[in-house]
Amino acid sequence: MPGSFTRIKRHEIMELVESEYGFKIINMHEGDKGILIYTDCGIKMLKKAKRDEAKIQFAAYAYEYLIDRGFTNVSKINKTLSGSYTINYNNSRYVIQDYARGKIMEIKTPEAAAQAAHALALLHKAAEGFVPPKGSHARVDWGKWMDKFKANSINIRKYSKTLQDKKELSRFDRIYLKHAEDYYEKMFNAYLIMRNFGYLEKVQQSMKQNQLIHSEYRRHSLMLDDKGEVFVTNLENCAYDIREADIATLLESFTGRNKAELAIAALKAYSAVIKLDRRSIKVIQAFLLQPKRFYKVIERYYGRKKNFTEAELVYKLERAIKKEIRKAPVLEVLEDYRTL
Amino acid sequence: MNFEIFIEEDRQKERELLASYDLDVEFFSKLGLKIKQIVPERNCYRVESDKGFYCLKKMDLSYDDIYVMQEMTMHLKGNGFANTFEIMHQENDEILVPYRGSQYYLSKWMDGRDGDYLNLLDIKTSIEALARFHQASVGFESKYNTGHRRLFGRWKESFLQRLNEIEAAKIQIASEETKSDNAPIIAQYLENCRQNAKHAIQLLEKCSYEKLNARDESQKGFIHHDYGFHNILHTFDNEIYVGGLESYAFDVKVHDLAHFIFRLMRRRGWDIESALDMIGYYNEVSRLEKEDYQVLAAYFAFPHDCKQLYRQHYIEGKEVEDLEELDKINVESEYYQTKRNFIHEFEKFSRLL
Repeated sequence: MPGSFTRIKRHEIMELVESEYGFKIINMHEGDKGILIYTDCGIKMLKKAKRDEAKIQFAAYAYEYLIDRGFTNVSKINKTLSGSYTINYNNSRYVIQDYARGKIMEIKTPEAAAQAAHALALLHKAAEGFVPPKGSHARVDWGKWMDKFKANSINIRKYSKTLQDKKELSRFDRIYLKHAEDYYEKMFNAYLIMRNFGYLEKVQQSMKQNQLIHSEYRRHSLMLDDKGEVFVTNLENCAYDIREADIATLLESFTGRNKAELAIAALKAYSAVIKLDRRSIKVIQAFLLQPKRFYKVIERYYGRKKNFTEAELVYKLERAIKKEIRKAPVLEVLEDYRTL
Repeated sequence: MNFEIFIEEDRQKERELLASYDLDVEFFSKLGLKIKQIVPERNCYRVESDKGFYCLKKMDLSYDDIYVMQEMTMHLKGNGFANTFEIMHQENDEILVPYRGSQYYLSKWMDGRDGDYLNLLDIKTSIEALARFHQASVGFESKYNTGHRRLFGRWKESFLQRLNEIEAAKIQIASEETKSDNAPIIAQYLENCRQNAKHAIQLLEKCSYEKLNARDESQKGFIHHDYGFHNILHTFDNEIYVGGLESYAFDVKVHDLAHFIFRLMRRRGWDIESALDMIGYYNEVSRLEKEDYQVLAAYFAFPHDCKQLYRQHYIEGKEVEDLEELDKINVESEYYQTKRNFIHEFEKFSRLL
């Protein structure tokens, strides 16, 4: 195959897929995210799996669960004839997913924002009560955010303190110090909001319901299919967590000048399916308030993993700060919940 | 007596342990199982068979210990605490399966998730389960020899032994000819550990440790002795299961609670309020008394994590490169100061009761 799949030999893959899945392959070519395979059972996408078998199994079951519960606009992972969700080729693991035609969803109007949020609420409803089958590996994020925000705020202060004794500050240090106190406050306030507005109760409720969430529900995970319906992709990272985490991710992904308008439309549309109470809004606010991007970059610079150069990290930090600033209109909407 | 509890999970050790399993078709036919899949999981194998999922373990305990463990599981079950991993009986009613010079045993496989130290709800349910575990353990009697697992009244002896080790480490570091960059920090840390260990011993001598021992010994209960998130399973029907009973011991109940809280404090930061909350969760199920708090104060004051932190330098001869690890042993660091305040505050609290 040309491009990024040069190590894949066409005839080998054809033979492997036909024998493992029982499809009859008509044609295949390289797409953006994998190899498109045209079969007698529809169009499929062959993708290299980045996770181990147990984690793929978890995601595959989640897809099937959603489809069984009526949320069909997801592309399920196909099972081989022997019942596995992966195939091995060249010492790597691959999965085959159903392919959906469509285009990346642009969320520029309140109607589009509402449509995305409505689909999210339906997904959440369908994803309630999911119990992973034996042998799969569940990703669980229940209950960890509140204390994580607290720990992160302590770290921001710690990094600032370390810099006090540093004689020569780098460019990164200087940019960091300029914003550190502001972002410390944001991080700590996010923790306080979670503590004071029932985050743990939301977690308890989610644990009781075995609530599965998408975890990456943003513009890039959404497509509009030929019928104009929202098609959800990237469900591989789904996890057990509270719904508010997904809503915050969606709101954060809105771009353009009418973010506030989009956020209001999205919250209303979601609330029409699953009622959002004041506590939910506050928890969403906390998720958005915490400077996630800023913290990620400074942790790379001052923490254990230093896998980027100084120049790259300075660029990332400046970009993160810009993105943090862009969240302000949505945060204002959340602050003034009663207007909704 | 095992107070060395802060050694992180050793994956290499687990791999070696699993490699020592002698698994073949003959073995599984002896177990009466048709195998579909075998997957290594931590220190055991998850076996998927025609009869369901099982956990296969190779016995690394004495015969007495394994039978005591089974007795304990049944005792807990009889007293209303059924959430442990019962060893399965074979067709000949035995729990052990001998094969090529080793003994193996099976227990039912439970799917679930590990607890998360950041999740307060997981912490709460784990502590409540511990309290219920202790309550259900009362009145246990074994027909096997359990003398080697009796720790009642032996904390001082163990603390003194560890104090000697700290002093020996201190002498060795002082006598090293080529000193590493971090040697002064480690030397200072060990000196502090020495002082803290002495202080903990004094606290133990002054408190009602013996009274507490007499009370708990008379109740004939047992403790888990390795109670941590790695031995607690949360199932998706919101049940909690306790595993790892292999480390069982007979000692004061607060030993388990102190061990659990100490581990959490190391990871979450030494916060007196959250520690008191945790004790509160235990209290809701089983009330602690003044002497429990005093013994807890002595436990927290002792530097249990000392060996783990200096072993890289002292045993493996490596430079401590991890900044976070270095932060933990630097007596000037915020971490160390917070821990010191915690110990002080808790001691004060236990005296006020």
